[in-house]
Amino acid sequence: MSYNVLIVDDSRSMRKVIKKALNLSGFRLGDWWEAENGRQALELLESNWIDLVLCDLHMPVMNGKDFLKALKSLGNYDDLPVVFITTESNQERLGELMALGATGYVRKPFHPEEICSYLSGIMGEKNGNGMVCTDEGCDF
Amino acid sequence: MEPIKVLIVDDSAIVRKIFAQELSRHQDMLVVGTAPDPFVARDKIVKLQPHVITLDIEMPRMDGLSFLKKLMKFHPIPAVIVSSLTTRNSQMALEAMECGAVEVLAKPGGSFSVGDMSLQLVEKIRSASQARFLSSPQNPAVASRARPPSLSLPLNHQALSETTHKVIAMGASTGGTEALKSVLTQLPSSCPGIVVVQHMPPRFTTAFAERLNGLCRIEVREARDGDSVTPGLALIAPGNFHMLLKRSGARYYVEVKNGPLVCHQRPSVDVLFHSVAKFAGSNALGVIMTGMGRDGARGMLEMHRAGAHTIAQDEATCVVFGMPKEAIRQGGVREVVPLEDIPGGILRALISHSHGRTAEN
Repeated sequence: MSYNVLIVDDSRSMRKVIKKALNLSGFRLGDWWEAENGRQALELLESNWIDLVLCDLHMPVMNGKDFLKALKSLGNYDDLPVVFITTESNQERLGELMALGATGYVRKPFHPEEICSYLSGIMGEKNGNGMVCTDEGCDF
Repeated sequence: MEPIKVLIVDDSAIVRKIFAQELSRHQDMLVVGTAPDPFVARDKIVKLQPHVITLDIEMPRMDGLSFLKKLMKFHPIPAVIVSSLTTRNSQMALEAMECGAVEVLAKPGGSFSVGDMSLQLVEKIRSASQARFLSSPQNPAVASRARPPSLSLPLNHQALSETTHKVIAMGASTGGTEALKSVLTQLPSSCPGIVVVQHMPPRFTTAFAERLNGLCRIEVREARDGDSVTPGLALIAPGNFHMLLKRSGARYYVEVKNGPLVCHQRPSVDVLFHSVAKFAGSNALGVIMTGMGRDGARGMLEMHRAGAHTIAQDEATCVVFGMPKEAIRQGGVREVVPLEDIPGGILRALISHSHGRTAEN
């Protein structure tokens, strides 16, 4: 079992860092896609089966907040977790994102293990009991 | 012949085990894997390339419907929905059919045993394996192909008011819920009484009738024993019962009753059509639509011989071109038309028939 992840960040090196962190942390990363901004992210979501979006807040063309609004207005993505990875520390702004339907946020800089357990929790919760099921364990 | 490769998606280990065991007794079935949740399911669908999946849509805290929608969008595969017999789940199962699932199976429980379920499971997987993907419900390009209602239909044609003595009988199976929906929503409230058999488990037929009732100009409800068949009303045979048309004087009514499976089905289209041929004769109009097997073919021939106008859905628009094909083969079909032309075909036949009648008088 694995999760398909979309990483949205205008910094290429940051996208690399996030991906590396996911891999190092033991997160069950399946396929992944990268977008430079919200606009690209929406396009990728339209044509790919994505389970989780990790999104930066400040980006050119379409920033994270506008992306979240656009996504929620589409209606088809109500159950898609969107987690912001951001340096933003203003509680009011973070609260605004949560009110718009963000699943959560991770503050930069983050520790790989921290992000893994956090994201696994998000995916696990969606799955029921939070238990991560291995392929082997699933055959009957 | 290559066996049908099946993937079982269910959060219950017991169900996965029972399904796998039951399916393994059939030579044409091969369970290639099982999955307890959508993420595992997706991986296995990609890796194992099953022909059919069975999908529990009520897995706890997981939205089976949104999984199904994604599956149909990114990896279309025939799905048999497995659902327990509650009202809420029946509605979800219907939504699943709208999302592209082709069959629905009631979970064992109460008086409904695993043995009963086993045969149906196999039948439904076989039907599903024959299903072709005609269109995605989410695909606007396909949706827009549907004609705007009524341009070609004589909705308010006065002649329809002269058809009150008529009865329309319809039968469908795999893919039938969507096909029936597309036909019934097009019919005007002045339309003659309609009797419908759609192969589906009990409760699901209730939810199906309720859903159609909300979408149609005609009234749609699940039939109860003794209900009159009147213009502007469609009666859906309840799951697990046969429905027969009867006549008392000038009044048509339905009998809803138990009885043996006919063509492996209850309700059976043949049982309905046979009674329609007998009691409505040339006043009837028969429509046979998408579905696997041969249920309805013989009854349609009887209707044809009794003078009824008969219509079969064409191959290109059928999810499974089984029942209509067999009806055509047996010689009981007058007209073969694409799904979108069935409402027009029905109304044209009614009107020309009623004109013909007037002329004769």
